[in-house]
Amino acid sequence: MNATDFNDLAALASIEEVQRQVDQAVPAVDPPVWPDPILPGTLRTPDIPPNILPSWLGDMARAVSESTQTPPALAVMSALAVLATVLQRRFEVAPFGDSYTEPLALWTLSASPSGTRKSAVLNAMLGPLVYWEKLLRDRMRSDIAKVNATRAVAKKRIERLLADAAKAKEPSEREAIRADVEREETEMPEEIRPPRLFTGDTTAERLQAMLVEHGERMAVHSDEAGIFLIMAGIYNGGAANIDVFLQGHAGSPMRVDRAGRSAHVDKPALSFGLLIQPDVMSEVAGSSRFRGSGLLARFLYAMPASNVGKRDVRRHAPIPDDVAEEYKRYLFSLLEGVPGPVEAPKVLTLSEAAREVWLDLAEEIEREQGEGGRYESISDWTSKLPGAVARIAALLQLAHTGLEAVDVGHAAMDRALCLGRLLIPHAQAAFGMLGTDAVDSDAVAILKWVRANELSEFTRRECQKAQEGRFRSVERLQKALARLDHQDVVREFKRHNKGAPPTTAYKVNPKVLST
Amino acid sequence: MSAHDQFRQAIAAAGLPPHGELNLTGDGKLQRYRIEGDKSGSRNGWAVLYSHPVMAGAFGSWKTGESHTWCEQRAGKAPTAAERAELQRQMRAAQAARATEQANVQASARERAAKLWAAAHPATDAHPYLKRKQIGAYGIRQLRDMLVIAARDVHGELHTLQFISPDGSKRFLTGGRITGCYFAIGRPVDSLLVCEGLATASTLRQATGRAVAVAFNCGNLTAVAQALRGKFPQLRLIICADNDLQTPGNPGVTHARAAARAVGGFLAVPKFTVVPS
Repeated sequence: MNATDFNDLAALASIEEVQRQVDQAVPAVDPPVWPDPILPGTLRTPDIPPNILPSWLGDMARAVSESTQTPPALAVMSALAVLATVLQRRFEVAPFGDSYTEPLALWTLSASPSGTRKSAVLNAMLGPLVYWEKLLRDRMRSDIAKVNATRAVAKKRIERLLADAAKAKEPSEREAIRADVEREETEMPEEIRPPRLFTGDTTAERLQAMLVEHGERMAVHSDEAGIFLIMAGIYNGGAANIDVFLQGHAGSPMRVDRAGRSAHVDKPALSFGLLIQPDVMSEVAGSSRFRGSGLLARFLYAMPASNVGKRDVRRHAPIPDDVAEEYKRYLFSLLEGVPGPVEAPKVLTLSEAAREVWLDLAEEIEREQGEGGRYESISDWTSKLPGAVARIAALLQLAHTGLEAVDVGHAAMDRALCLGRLLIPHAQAAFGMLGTDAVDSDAVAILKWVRANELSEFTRRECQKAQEGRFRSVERLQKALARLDHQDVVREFKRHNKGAPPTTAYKVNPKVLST
Repeated sequence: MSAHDQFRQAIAAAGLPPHGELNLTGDGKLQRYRIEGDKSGSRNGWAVLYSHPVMAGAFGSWKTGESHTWCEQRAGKAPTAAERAELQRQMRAAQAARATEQANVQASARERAAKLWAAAHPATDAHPYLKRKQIGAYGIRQLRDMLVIAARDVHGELHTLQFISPDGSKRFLTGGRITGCYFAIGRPVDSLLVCEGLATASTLRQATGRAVAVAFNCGNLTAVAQALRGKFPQLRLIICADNDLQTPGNPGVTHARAAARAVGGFLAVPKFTVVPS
């Protein structure tokens, strides 16, 4: 019998069943549209496309990605870090046009397994900066040699004078020598160093020194995890000096003591462009200090799906010369005036349109990162996202219009917002890998139970009863269910009971059961 | 192949070939004809053909309610803007001609329906279909061995009739208007149920005691619901769907949900806990 209507129901069940079901008629709503669920414990990250960057930069990122056959996210994040390296400390952005400013330092961290040509990406994106450093080093070679020689002679003279002072019998003689030493030190020219924009793997102490030596700005670009592990406290027995990192990100004043001398760095700017293996994330997972320090929350993560196994080993696609040349030309134009005197950074404001859409993001983030919100478990990261987006927008504006930019327009902000939103699931994936998410583990357990019992819907009470050992408190269960709801795995609804209060129940995304 | 032959081929391809010769002059006048397989004397088919600027036409069946358009395929030469405008004018004229003819056909159907309804007598529960479905004969009639159900608009005007044979097969009076018409069981108090077929409606009446409107098919649910909403703005309308689980897209539920949404109504879908074999 092909039963379809209420007449069939009456025949199969009873007339009373017909009445009962008609009594339960519900207001007609649109059929639920189930998007693809984000399963807990899985990495599901969106692509980060090169066209999010302005033309010359996006073209280079695309060409590098295609040439190295790596996910575009790696080249895009590296490109942003290069932009920050070039522009940080010289510019900052003031979203409201007042004293609240964001420096243009950026920390990017992309994860990619071993053997996936991370070095090739890094080398291609950094190439012009390496060339620039070499150019300036060559130009300054004779000046450097002259100053070094003068300093060496002065130092030797001071040594000699000090030896004489030790032998001097008369106070007046010692006083004369002291005056000579003072004059030698005052007149000794400052050391000239060839400018450095970035360094590779290094230590916290060396970074501090480099900030002093190179105009209060420095960047670390590396495909080694050393500096990341230092930050995590894996090395040095957990005693890493993390202040240099925090202050370098925030642009907060820093005092550096070296070799008996004290240096003051007014607005340090420190950027990172790291490409590391995903296993490193697990290695630092145990360091609660790392997360507690606030360092983790400052990185912008890219966790693209690996394409190992799908690459075409016979394909050879070199980066087109014109693309590479244009990339180099634009970077060089942005480096005009470097090295220069250490001055206050030029401040970019946001145009009204840019500010409005930026505030929309800030509002959205604020709503979702509170208690029970979608981003509750990564709220330390999301709370920094609006600031990061403002930084990215300013960098993109400068990349587009050049050093004469005075404010950040809507177009640049639009790109930055798009990127910011794409980065949220990447951050979730990163924090998931860091094993810092207890709610995620609970959500996994519920999902397992749903699948094992092939449930298309269930009540909260049924869920708790089935997993009494895990969910002793309703609050804990509620958080996990809320996570599953936010990730489109389930959808909460009220089941109406005639003559009794409604029951909280959950419909399961059919796609969850079919995978 | 000439354009006339192409047009005839299109009619045949749509399953509406004429019984015998169909002379189309291309003068834009709508012609009615007997469709192959239809009974003698019937003229359910219709066609209209234009010859300028290109050969174009339309055709259909009053019985099934379908209509199709056709245009001559000229290889290599696309119509000019003026030709396209003329074609559109002709299509609009064809539609107007069809609408006029349809009004005539429907008027004719109303007359026949009234005569047949007057000739029929009240049905009893002893009819084989009613017994098989275990339903009562609420306000329906019988003519020979056929149950006769009146399809009226919200003003009560009789437009057409549905006939149900003892074996349960159903058909409508040819040419009658169905859209927005329904068969009513009972008078609504605070709510009104709407469903597709007579058996379902009778069951619902029996189970709930509420007034029920029969829309005859799922495609008519929205039109009926909207007509009833216009007549009863405050009533709680409950669309009782057929749950066509075995049919792709579940048209019963889909149309019922659309009808309920259209009028801010409720939706009831039968759920079978015992899987029917």
